[in-house]
Amino acid sequence: MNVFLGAYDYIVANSDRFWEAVRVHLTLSVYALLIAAVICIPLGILCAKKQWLTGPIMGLFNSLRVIPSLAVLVIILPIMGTGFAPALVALTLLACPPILINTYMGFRGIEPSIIEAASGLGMGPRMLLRKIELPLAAPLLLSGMKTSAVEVVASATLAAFIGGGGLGTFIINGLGMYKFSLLLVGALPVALLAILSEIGFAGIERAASKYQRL
Amino acid sequence: MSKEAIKFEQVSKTFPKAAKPSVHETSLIVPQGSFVTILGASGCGKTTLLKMVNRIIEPTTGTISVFGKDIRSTPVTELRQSIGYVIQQVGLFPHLTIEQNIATVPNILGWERRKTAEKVDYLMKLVHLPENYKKLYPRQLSGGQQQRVGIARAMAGDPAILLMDEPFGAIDAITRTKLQDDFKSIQQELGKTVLFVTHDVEEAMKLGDRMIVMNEGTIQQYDTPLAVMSKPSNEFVSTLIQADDLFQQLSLMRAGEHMTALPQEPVGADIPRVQTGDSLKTVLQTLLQHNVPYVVVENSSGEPVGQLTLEQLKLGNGK
Repeated sequence: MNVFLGAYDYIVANSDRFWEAVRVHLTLSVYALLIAAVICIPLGILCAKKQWLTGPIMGLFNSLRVIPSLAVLVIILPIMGTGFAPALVALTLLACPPILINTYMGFRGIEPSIIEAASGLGMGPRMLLRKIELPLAAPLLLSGMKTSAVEVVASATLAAFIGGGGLGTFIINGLGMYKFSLLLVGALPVALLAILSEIGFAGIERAASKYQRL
Repeated sequence: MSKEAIKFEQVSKTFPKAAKPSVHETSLIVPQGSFVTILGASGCGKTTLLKMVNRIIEPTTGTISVFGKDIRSTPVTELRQSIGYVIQQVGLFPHLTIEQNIATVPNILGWERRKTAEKVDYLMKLVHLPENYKKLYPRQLSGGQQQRVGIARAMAGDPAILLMDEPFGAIDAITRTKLQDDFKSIQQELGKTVLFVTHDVEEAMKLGDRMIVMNEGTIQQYDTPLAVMSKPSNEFVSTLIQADDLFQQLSLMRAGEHMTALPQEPVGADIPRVQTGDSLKTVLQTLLQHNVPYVVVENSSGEPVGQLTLEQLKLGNGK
């Protein structure tokens, strides 16, 4: 119990440093997720509509996924140096594949007869996307966002290795100083944030697929 | 003379990389208010012919006009909003309620909320859907009910023309018969022009005022079901519709059109009766069931107006 008490004491004593780390951690995660979504949702839709694009784009992002997140950070290091920006780039790359793949699957999974009926009734491509395709792809798309969010929140810890800040700083320091209470100051909030983002996205996902369960 | 609802002028379609055309050069007119069925085996080009009307498929050559206007002269979305479209897989939007599904076209057209709501109520009554289905989702309905929604949705924008691609093809036989009867009476009541693709001979004959028989991308015959049945234009049509099937022929003829005057002596109470609108097939069944020399034909108010004997049925077919 001492380690937990120690962690608590540390947070109370260094609340400024703690909350600043939480803020950086969240900013990194949210930005990475948003940028990935802005890039990968349209790309996924494009892949689903233009079959010839699927192979190259999916291949590229799938191969990116094979690289461990720490390796991505290390590769970025010589290119962009240290700090917030390279950490953000690395995390964004990490967040891309699940969003891209799930967007693609979500759009490919829509029954062609639904699209035919919608355009046969006189919906233009934009209305079709907004009223039919996006809502129908939403459950899968959101599930991709959920995977990305959890992955990004957890991996943002590694940003500390390249000076990106965040809760990982406590973990690295704790490990370096062999001080478990300090390690927990970083680890527990990260775990909590990961769980919260999982729960949050799962909730949105459920709401978006409510019609399937009635 | 009735107006031309749909007119094909030298229309043909060859898909890219296909060796021969799916639809050979075709000219035909669908008169306003008529129910025209297109009959043929799969791959005969009947669906291609239908889908060229709302430009789901673009013709390779020729012109299609709707009420005298080239279909390429209006934006494709506007054209489609003015033509109802029903497909075999129904294609209801699973994330929208029945009410929202039916309101699709009114919503695209930006109708007032009240007008849309009234239209939805009217259409649900028309296609015999209970009012409390409004808030349900498509998957909570049976296949037959879903297609009723599909038909209501297609009619929501008040289109003068309905295109239907095997709409009852995936529905069980009992439900299908009911849907056919209901839809036929809706079509007659509202005077819609319907172009209806089917591979079911009986359905094509029963629903169509006129029918198009297609084979290998060419129209074999375009005439009333009775004419197609009694004077098939060639061997193919004859085989397809089994023109030598007496029952099929009898089922297309009405008792009121073939009866003769009643005998002078009062009609016996034990003589079975049929309605003027009944088919000769029903008459034959009645004759055989009751083992009587003739049946009395009565009109809709129950008065005897004529008679039919077994002998007359034979003559009727010999003509």
